[in-house]
Amino acid sequence: MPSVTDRRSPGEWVQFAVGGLIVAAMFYPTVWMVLSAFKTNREIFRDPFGLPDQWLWGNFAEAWTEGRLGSLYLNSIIVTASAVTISVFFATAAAFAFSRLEFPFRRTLHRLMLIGLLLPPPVVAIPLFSILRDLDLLNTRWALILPGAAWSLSLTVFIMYGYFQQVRTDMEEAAMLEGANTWQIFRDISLPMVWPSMLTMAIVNTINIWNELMFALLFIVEEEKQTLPVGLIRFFGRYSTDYSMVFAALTITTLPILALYFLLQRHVIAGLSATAMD
Amino acid sequence: MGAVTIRDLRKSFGALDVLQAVDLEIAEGEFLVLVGPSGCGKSTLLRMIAGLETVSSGEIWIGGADVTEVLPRDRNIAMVFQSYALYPHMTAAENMGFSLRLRRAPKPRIAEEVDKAAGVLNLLDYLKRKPRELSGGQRQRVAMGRAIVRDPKVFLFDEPLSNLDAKLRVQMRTEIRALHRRLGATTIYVTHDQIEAMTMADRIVVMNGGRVVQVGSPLELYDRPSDIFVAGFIGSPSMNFVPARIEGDAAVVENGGPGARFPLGAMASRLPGAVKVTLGIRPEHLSLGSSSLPTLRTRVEVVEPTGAETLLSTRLGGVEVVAVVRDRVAPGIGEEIDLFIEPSKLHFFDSEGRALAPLDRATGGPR
Repeated sequence: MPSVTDRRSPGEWVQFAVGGLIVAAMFYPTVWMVLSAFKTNREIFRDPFGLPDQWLWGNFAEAWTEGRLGSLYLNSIIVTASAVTISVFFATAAAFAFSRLEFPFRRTLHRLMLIGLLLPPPVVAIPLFSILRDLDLLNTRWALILPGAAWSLSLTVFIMYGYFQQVRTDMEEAAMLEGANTWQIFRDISLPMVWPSMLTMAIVNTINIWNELMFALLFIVEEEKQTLPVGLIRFFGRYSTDYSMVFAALTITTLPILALYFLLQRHVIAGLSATAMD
Repeated sequence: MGAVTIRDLRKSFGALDVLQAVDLEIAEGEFLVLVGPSGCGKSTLLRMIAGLETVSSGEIWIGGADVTEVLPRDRNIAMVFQSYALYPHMTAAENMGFSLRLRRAPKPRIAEEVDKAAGVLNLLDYLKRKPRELSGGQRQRVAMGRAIVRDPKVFLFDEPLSNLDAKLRVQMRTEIRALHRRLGATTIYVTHDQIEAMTMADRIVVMNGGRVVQVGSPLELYDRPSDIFVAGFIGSPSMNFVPARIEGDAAVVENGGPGARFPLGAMASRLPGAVKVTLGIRPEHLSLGSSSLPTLRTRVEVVEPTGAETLLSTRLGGVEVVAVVRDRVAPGIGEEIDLFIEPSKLHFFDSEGRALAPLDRATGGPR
């Protein structure tokens, strides 16, 4: 009996080849970064694409100490976790309100909220700076948490709104008839049903906020409150740069995000299939 | 306590009137079925009683209180949805006890009430399962259990059996009826299936185009439909409608053969100057075999034996006439046959589709 592969047409093989090339092109920079992290600075320039002559695990320990990555890590975790929690929770609540509740100017407010999708960060950098200065929040972690959360709101509301529109309303109506108020419906019925989508948005927002550089450069001056992307700049000297250190630090910075992505992605798929009841 | 009164209830979406001046009195403990084709406004009416749809004008009273502007949760009603609307992340027991949890009832009481309802519905073995681990019939029972635990004044059912297969539907029909007898709560049940309506209801409300067309007991609707719509909607297979013209004191069906002359009796005097009527004949009231009764001569097109009876699809001019006969010996396709009908079983409709009083069974004269 012929196997599945025997029956594939030449067209399908071309599709596989193109797909494979795209995946390789997307993933190779990550592989290159990790391989370079094991090399010496000289080897990186001498043989940029080969495997390391010697696997220098010590590069990571050195980068961790020299770059004082410990405190940068802690700051990044606090800022990202807070901003992601705030943005996903409030955006979900807003999306619930926009899709389920009747109130004056609902459509106008919804559209206004989505304008945020169109704004590039530099446009709001200076007004934000003034606001944070007036609120006396510059040089605090709040200067990154609040703008980070606010910046993620538009996209999260947009995605969550779309998800709410797909979820049948009869379970919420059943809860309403059973005596639940709006808050109880949101907490007990809607949230558990949309959590896979919330998890997806948590991943997307984590990646964005973890990697955010511009606000972090502008709003934080004190070294002990800086986040990882700002800290990485320390590795670039005015006259010389130790690229093995840069790549080791980059690998350390990127790994948790990659791990989080692969870990949660499984849950998201499981969650999505669990929510579909019929 | 659980009587429902609906006064001049209307619902419009912009210029579209989906419900027009509905008046209904539903007695406490009554099982009322709202039936009608898709889009007739029956589900909208139910949702308005539940408080899930706003009211354009009119009033809804439950248990002697005006609830028109009252929030759904304060109306003390329970609803079973077509999709069951079970909470997918909760077990069957949690689904059933949710209303008590919201009322902050103590846990032992919630468990007791859930067990009691589960016992009635044969669900005790499934209480720890999530809805996705239950079959369609079990989900339906959990949805009913949730309504029972709530102990409402009024039960609302919105096409609860549409998602079940035919066999289960028949079984659940009986169970819902038995449950109603046991609990005695006022029940309003929406369906588009007239068999469901006929078998379950104390009274049926037939709706069409946003209006109540007729209200009555199942047999009243079957025996005395108020118009051609109700006559065609109630009964399966549907009533046959045959155009006829008035000749003296009888209605004569053209091309119906020599026996197709149906006496109008005293009804003739109520049709001054009328030249046309529509005869309504239920398929089960037609029979093969010789008799002196009026007959219709038709040509057989399809013969469908079902075992207990045989369905004959025949043609009379441009009109299809269906007959359900008990005879096993069926005529051949294309054969011309005479179908007999007792005059007392005939229905007459005027040119606007309104029913004229049916003929008296005993005398053949008008009632």
